[in-house]
Amino acid sequence: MNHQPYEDWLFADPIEEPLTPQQQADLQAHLLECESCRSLAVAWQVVEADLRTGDMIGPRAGFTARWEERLEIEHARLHRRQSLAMLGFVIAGLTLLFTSLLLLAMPLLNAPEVWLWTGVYQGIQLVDNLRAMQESVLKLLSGLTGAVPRVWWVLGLGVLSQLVVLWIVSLRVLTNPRRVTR
Amino acid sequence: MQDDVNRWVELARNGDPQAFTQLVEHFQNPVYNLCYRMLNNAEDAEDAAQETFLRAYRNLRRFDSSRPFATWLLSIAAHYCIDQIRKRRMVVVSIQDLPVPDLPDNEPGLEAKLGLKQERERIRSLLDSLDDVDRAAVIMYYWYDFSYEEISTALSLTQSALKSRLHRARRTMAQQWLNQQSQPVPAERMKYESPTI
Repeated sequence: MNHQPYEDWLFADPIEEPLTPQQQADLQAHLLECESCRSLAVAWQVVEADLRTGDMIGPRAGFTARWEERLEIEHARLHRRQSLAMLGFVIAGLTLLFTSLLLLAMPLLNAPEVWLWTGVYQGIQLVDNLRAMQESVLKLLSGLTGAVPRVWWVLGLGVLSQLVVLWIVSLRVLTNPRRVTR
Repeated sequence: MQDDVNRWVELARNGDPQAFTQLVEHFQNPVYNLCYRMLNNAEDAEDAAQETFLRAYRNLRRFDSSRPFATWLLSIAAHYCIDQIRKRRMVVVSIQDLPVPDLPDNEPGLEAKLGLKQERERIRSLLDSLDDVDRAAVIMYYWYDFSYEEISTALSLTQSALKSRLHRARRTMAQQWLNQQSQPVPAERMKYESPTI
């Protein structure tokens, strides 16, 4: 016996795919004569009733608190991963930089005496430059101490220390993982 | 309530973690129920539900607010559970071999608890007979009253594919029920019964 389209109609959704009155009548007629479809229809009625009355199962008490704990662990893990990524990035950058420098210095390495004299010359230049800078700063400071009143110095240092504290606090707030509270 | 949900979603998207906690509190039962019906295990369901909320939290900015939040959340849960079932299949553990777990919520009395456990076992065996995507579709349809459109969006299926999947699922479950009726009572059950019967 051909069970189509009756089987399709049997399992069709009454809301999304409603049957026409003619289809319903044809289905009923088929069910009267086909035992296989009739048993399927009965089975489906029982199953559907079970599904429709199936209760909603909830988790153990304290689900939200457990989720918050898990979120904190996740944040800590993310924080650690970001730090590792940053460290990796810095190491990779430094490696690249030193490799480039090494490549640039390769001709010098082939002639060490040139490299040595260049180093000595650069060192002397550096010391000369530092000495010149020191003299300039000292001249500037001696000029300023006379020109700016002592009160302004105190105020300036006070503001500077406040800014340092603010910087440290913001750094801590920004780098600490967020904590979710109920 | 829908207004509250929309407000919490909006606040959570703007970085208010407490608003997301409200969403967890509000949706814990539907999400857990879906995971439990899909995975048949209280521990796995808890883990899946927690993971669902974490994924939702991480991807909240991608949520399209023109869609209902519940559909989006349950879609994450369903996809996660389908993945878990597929992974579980690789490990040689059959769902059929797993014991019916003790229920997490408190029941009023022993008789009611037994009745509920039997009903849940019946539903479990029916759902077990289905393919993972079909199971998710059936759960969304019968427990959450989702429309075909919502289910097909949530499970990334076309509506005609969903329709044929639901047809197949209904037929499979009816056939499973008939098979259960024709099977004799297993010997394991007999040892708890009176020897005179």
